[in-house]
Amino acid sequence: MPGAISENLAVLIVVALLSTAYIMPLLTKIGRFRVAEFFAVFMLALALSGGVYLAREILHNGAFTYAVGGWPAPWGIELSLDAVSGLFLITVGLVATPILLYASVDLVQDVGSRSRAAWFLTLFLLLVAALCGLGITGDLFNIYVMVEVATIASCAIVAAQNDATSVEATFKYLMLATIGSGFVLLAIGFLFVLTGNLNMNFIAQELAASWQNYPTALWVSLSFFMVGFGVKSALFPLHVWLPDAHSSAIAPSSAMLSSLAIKGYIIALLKVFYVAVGAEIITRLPITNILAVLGMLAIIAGALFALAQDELKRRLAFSTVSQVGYIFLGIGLGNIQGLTGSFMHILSHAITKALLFLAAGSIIKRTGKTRISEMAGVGFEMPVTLGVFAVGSLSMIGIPLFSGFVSKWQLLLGSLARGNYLSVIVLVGGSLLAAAYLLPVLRTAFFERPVQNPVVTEMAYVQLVAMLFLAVVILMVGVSPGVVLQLAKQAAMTLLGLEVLP
Amino acid sequence: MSIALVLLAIFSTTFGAIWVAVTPREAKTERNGVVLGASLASAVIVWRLLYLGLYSGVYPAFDLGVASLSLKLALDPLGLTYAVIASTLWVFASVYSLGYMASSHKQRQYFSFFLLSAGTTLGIAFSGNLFTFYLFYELLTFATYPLVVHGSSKEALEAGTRYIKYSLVGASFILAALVMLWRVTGGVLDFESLPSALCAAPSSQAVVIFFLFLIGFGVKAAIMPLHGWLPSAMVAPTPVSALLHAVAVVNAGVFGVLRTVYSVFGVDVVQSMNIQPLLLAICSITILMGSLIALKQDVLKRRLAYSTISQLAYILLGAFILHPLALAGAILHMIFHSTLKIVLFFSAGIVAEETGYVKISELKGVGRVLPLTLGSFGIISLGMVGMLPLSGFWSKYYLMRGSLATDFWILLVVLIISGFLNALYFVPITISAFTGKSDLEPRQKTRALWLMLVPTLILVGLGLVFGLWPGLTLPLVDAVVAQFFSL
Repeated sequence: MPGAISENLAVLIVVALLSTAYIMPLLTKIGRFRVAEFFAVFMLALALSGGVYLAREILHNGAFTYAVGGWPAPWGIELSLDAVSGLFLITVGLVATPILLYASVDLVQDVGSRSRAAWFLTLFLLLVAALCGLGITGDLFNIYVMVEVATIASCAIVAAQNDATSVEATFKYLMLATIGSGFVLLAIGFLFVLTGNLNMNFIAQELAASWQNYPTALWVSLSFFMVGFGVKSALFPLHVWLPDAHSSAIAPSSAMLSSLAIKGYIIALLKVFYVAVGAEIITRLPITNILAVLGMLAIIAGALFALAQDELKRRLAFSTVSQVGYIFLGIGLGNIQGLTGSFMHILSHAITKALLFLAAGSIIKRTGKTRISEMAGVGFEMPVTLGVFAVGSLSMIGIPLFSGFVSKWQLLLGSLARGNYLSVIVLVGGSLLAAAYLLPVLRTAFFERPVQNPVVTEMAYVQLVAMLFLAVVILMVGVSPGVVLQLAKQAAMTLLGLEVLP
Repeated sequence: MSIALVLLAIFSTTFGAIWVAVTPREAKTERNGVVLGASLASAVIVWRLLYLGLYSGVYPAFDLGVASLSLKLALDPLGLTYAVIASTLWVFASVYSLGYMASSHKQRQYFSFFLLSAGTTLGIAFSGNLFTFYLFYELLTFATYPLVVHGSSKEALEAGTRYIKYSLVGASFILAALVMLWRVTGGVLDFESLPSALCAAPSSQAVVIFFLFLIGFGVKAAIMPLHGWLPSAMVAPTPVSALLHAVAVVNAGVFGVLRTVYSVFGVDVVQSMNIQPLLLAICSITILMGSLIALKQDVLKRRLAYSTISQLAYILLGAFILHPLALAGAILHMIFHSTLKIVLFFSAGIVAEETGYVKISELKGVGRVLPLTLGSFGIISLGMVGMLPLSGFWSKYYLMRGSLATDFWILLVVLIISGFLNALYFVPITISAFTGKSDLEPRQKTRALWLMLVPTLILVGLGLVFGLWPGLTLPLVDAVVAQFFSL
């Protein structure tokens, strides 16, 4: 990697986002709030282009490591830039930018005051920075720090609205997330005691040589990781906090949390399992099977819960529980197609769920109706919003030409490669259930006759652009997944320790 | 050049759909022009492609080169048969729709999706590999759903939900089969190379895949017991029932089964799987049960729906016999059943529009008020029974010859019984319509009525022409048979 900027690009992305986060209140104080907003969106777009650039480098020239501050591992912090980080940086950028763009229009009105809005921007950027950090770090303690930052920031943006329900949901979220952090910290402690290292590559070397001496300790550590990250990423049955938190927050917060925040912890889990412990060991332990079973349970149970909800945002929140199951199932399958499917689904679900939450938030904001059964005829009042909602729904169901199909297809291939016919049935059944809980929304909005004709206007121009952007990305990935799929495949190969040809 | 034609055939209606969607609500003339023009254009192009294929032997095939699962379009005689049926009848249904929907609400939505479905149908017909097929097959469900629920009544919405449930469940069976097939053949999904790739597959897996496909396509082909959506979908506007539930959608299912048997597995593999008796039994049961249930229906469109279920099984029967003559019968029946059944639906629609009657028991004497309509119905229903000089005779004749040429002569009995049942549930309608007494006043023939009547009458003529000169279809049927049987 030549050039000073591109050499340090990875760490620059995180540092830039962190520093932007802290100057938000200042910018608002001394300047105009609009300027702060614009600057935040601009920085996110910049981070996205940085991510794209890095991903291209990784695709063409292979993975590389970066020693922060010039201190080589194991003394310093090492960033490992491989296809996993490239893909996740792109995902974060692609989703966070339009969400913040969307949020910027009504932010002051949504959260109450200008100063609160400025703090919201701070928290939002902190969350994005932490997620980017999770994507690129190669160090266990670093992961812990980033996980904590992300958790606190997500809790705070749930509470941004400052009404009773969202504060209660935040409290519930905070309690469970803290328990999760405790598990993660303990698990890291175990690994540190076993190996004497926090750098994941060093841990892998140590473990490869000696894990058979302390299998129980390793077991305990891994199950703590699973529970800790499982709580945070809403793995069924540890999802109980998610529906409240994600449905009571304002639309951009819900979109951010449901699409990106939980994915950060999944990336962390993947790194711990496949990089720190190593594919060799992890696939020999039954823990992947447990993940696969929990993933399948999540797919079905989450979807059934979603079906039972009449409130649109709660239905979408439970849908996230179901969709996260797809990702865990892919991780559990532990083969190249399965992991590729998981990575594709991390991207595809992030884009899709962000779009659905933004669209749902728009409907609720304009019509004041939160229940699906009340939304008759809304499709004609807000054609663009409901149009992009339709795109999101079809992608979530996994119709070909939409991005959701690409991940579903890879997961199906992965299941068959493992000879796991049960998961084929679950995957197919899961997408049928997704159709069952998403299509009625469209049916009600477009084909049922409205009771009376409320005068409703479409969202602001900028918000429509943000949503259309996500819809176009869904279609682009769906129609021609080429490069992204290659990146996901390479990420899977990296995790499995297979030779990656640049 | 021919590649451009193929794309143009698919996209002319798609562009038409977009055009209609953005045309202002009041610009009726423009909208009608676009609807007619788009469907006519795509029909003309399909005929041109058929001509090129049959007489110059040009069957364009090309990869669209997107996605890692390649999208491939490839023409062949079988696909062209379906394309020609659908696109030609689409023109008739367009004219009919202009009359039928003249005073209806939400016309833009109706005609947009009407044209969009046409493009999707052609996509199915021209698919060159199974993945492309699956893609368009799935899209067809979503393109046709708004047409089914067009009335927006509670009943329509329920029928639509049922339709989409059945279709999506069916499509998931296809997806499961597709991914298993991908695994077995190592990624080969092209229709051209599939039969040879599957020869080596372990037969137990092949049987599983075959039945997954059969269940998947069987939903749209309305094989019993997967037919439940079709009768309830009759709540849709009549042109929709006529086109989708007698021609495009149900034939997409049948076409899928034909593809599965002939282009995916191939005659030899299917024969070696020893499942023929079972398949033929399923078809026979559907034929007989469909006819029996049709007898009991009093709502005309529901009777037609059950008749369709029964008649579609004829086509499948012909396909499963795995004999050149029977395949010829199946192809002929696909062509003739579509052209005949659409007339019956058209007539039923005119009766419902002009008199408000939807039940058969109400039709007494209506023939005197609407002689042309009921006359068409009477003539064409004879064709459904299989009488000369109507086209329906010839397809049944070939099906019978096919069953006699193989060991399955028992099917002859099934076909004869079913023909008898067809007569029982069709002929009395005509008789009572012309003999009974009615207190209806003769109506003024409005422009809307003529728009509905003219396509109906032309199709009656077509039924007679094919009945008198069945050889007209010979080049096409020959080509299809030669494609799958080396004679």
